[in-house]
Amino acid sequence: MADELKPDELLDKIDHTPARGSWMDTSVQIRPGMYCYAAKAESVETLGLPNARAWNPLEDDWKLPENWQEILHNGLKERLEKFRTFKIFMDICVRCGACADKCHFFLGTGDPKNMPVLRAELLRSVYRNDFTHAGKILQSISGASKIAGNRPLTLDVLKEWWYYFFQCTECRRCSVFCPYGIDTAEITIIGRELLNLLGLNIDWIATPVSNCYQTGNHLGIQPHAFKDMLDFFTEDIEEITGVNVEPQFNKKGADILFITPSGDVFADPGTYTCQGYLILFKYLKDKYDLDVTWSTYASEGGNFGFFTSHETMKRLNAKMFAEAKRLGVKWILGGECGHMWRVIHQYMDTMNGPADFLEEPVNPITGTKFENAKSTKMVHICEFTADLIKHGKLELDKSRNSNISLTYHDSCNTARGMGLLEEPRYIMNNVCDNFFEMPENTIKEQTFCCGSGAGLNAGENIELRMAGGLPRANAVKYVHEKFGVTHLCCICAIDRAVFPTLMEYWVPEVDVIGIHELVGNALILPGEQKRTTDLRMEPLPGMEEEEMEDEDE
Amino acid sequence: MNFSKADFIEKLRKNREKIINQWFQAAINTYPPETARILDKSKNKFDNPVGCVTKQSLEDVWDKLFHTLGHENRKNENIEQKEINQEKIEEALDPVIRIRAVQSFSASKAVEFVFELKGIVKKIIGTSLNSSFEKKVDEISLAAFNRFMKCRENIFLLKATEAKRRVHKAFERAGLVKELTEEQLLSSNNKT
Amino acid sequence: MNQKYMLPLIGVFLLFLLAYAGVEGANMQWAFGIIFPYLAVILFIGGFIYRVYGWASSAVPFRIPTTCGQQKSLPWIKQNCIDNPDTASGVFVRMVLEIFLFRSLFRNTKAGFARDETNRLSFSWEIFLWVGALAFHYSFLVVLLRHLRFFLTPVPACVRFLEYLDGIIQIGLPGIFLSGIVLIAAVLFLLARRIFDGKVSYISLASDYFPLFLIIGIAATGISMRYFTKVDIVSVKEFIMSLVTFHPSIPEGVGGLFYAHLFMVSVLFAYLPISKLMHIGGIFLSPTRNMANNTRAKRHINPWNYNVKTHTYEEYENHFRDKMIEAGLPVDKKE
Repeated sequence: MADELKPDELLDKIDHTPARGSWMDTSVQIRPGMYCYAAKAESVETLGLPNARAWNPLEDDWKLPENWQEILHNGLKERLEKFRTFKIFMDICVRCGACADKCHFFLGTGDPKNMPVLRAELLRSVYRNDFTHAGKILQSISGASKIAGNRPLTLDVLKEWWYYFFQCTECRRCSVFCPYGIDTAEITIIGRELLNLLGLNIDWIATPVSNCYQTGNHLGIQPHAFKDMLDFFTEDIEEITGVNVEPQFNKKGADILFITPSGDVFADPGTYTCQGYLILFKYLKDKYDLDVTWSTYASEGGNFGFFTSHETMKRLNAKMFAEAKRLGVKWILGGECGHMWRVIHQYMDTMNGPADFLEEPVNPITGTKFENAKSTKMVHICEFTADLIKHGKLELDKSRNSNISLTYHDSCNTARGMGLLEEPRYIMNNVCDNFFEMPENTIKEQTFCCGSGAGLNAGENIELRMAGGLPRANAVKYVHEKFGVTHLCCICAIDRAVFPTLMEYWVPEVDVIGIHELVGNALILPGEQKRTTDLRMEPLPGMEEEEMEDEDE
Repeated sequence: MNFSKADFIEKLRKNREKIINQWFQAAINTYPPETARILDKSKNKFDNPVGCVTKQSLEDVWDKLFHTLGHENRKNENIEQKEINQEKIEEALDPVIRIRAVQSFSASKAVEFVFELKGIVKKIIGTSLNSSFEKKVDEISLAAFNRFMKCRENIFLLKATEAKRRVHKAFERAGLVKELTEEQLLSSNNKT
Repeated sequence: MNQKYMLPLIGVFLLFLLAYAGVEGANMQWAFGIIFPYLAVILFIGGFIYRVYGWASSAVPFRIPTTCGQQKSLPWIKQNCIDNPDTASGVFVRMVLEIFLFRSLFRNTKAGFARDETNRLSFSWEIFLWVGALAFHYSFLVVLLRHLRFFLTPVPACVRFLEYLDGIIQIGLPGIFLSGIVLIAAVLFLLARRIFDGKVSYISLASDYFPLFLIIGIAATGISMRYFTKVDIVSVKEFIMSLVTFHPSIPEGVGGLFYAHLFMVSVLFAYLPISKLMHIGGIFLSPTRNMANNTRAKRHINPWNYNVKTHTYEEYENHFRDKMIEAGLPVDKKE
């Protein structure tokens, strides 16, 4: 499509000012930099999902099954019965426009179809046409349908769905402002589920899903490599602290199973957060004899299945309880991650529970009962660490983080799908002296998305990511300029993966860090040597000269 | 001649708000009308980053332009000074161009708004433009092109190196992979 | 673009004419006074129940409230019991605030009052959406309640008290009711917003304009009957009581304007269940608002939960056993 156009035609096409009129009059332009590549056939096949084939969104022919309209119609019908959310959200929107300027993609890209209300209207227009009585009556009057905002499901409409449902990060910010709680994330989730019925996934989601299914994690890292990575962190930590923090793997009868997104194990700067976990667990082992195990089978906390379909989410998530059961642990501890926690908090127990083979989680060190997790039996590591700090169970040296000036990004999923707001702040204030909040309308339940969530953290859509991340970066820039903030702290593996790039483009002076990296730096391990560097092997504050001497020797 | 030039500059000074406002309108009118409306409306810089940054950036550019015009009035610029000014203008343009570089504008559309400054000033001042002013606006346009290209390069670089910086670096540190060549990295990123 | 609001406008005008001419010209009082109102009430009640039943019969597979505050977690962390409720009472308060004060819509305005770069106090006009919506819904409610005086004999004290309050500014004769004026002003504001606010007019459909015009028509005819043409209230009350007691009889001396008013009300009632106006019922059922955020503490049951194929540990170990043994990882089976 776009790349076959002559230059002057291209100019016309990229014109941002369409003729004023109904949004239905403008057909979709799939723009490079804004979309992600199509799912590879092999990845779709691994999970036995429909219509695996090679296809290219820029070509006219999407190689759809002959009866694709029927498939979608039936799929829609089924989901209207299965999800009250979906049915109500299709029916009750009054188009008041409260959500319109709440979406980071709309604010960043300026594309009006990224207004949450319109994203939903893309689907609603077809729903009204095919599933409401009024729609059916209007169909018989020529021209009436369109004025009423109804339209039949054509290939153009389908392409528009695909383009815009993969321009939503399911962050739920619009839902906070909607007077009826209409949640575009829910509509996008179901929209993507429908697209998957035709094999219309993006590769950045489909391949991690396929990897995760077979090897246990998104990156497809095999068990021995997983162990190698953690062994390597152990060596690094030993060099810094003089203490061997060797973790345990797949250990039966351990107290706690720990699961974190594989991004923490394999991608910078999450790896430093991972080292923080290792230091914490070693500390708890030595001081309080707490037995924590990692698993290579359930080596992925994240769940890109959530971005594919409810069923795929369930298939990937099943490993957590299955592994906890096999190992016979008491309860599960979960690492820092956003959508992983949305799945655990709002879906896991319902999908794969009841977890009656586990114990109601109690922190054996402080005696705190995690009442809020007594059924799912999985605790967020920030809840766990905050509890330890509150009870004075961790010996912390804040000064090791004194060269860091922090601000904190609330991850969308933990903020709006869970409400984990104060725990991380409590930890940060206990491990670092310089903490500054971003403006009120960009944090907590109003937090702006990183612009790359929900499986959109690919490379090919980088313009979309940079534009979508602008509202967030803009707030970071403000605290950087006003308070001299040097580090953006977050508790999400996708954040840690994408923020470095986002910051490099918008606020290059700001670095990205996870909470447990800060904890790892501050925590004083029993018997440790005098630390001269932090986990990134940078000199600690006040140690710059000693570091220089060391290097000279 | 000198008198009329001073007069011209005085007029520009007096009409600063008006010129900037119209220039801002011209810039945001490159977006779809319903978007422009929102960019124009909300004054909160966190709820409306594009509108606020654009406005701020244009104000900066205008003030820099005005400053150099004023200086020129007093003494002839030397080349060194000119370069410094050029750089300052480019920096002032950076925030707005940086945004437009990721919004799927074509290069010409992205910087088009700079050219509109001439027409706007002409309309507001009501006289023909002073030639050194026209030259300055041309310089700003070139600076905008420069900055746009730099941002695009930045984007491509980020795109090419992101995978390496993320996953690969960690693997490398752990000695799990041998050095991958740039082509390999790029080819895994460029499938279509 | 114009079609989107011109057609509904013409439509409402035609509805008015239809009833007015039908009564004044064709003496069809029985149709506009008896048949259509009864039909409308039947459609309203039937349609409303049908829609709510339709929603209620859709499953709620997951408990997915949108959380807008601190969760309940550790005892020393203060929970936001309203915006992130974990109990039924918290949800109740949240819903009450949502339904009666449009709390989520109000969130819009928070950022509205702020000092911008130049230290000017700025406010976005989003606060007017909240104010306008509140004004509209409450004045509509008061008008509806006032109309109870036509349906009940004797008129209950609370309705009379409401009328007293509504007419507390005593101007003219008959005294002005505030609610009518507020209603007209609010509807006109909401309409103006739809037509003149670029983003809202872009997303608006004909079905968004139609109810606004219809309500304007109803209010305008109502107001003109009360203040200008002075309809015979006693006859109207007798007529309505005859409808309520199912002994319909057409009154003498009541003109076309009244029937036009009644007809448009009938259309509104009949239209409500098939339109977005059903948000009246939907808001109570919205799962992101009416559920407690306690999914980890209390298991939610999905009525259609089914078993799925997973990749079991056994399959995984079979695949990787050699590599696992070599790496010193524990395995269940040694060969």
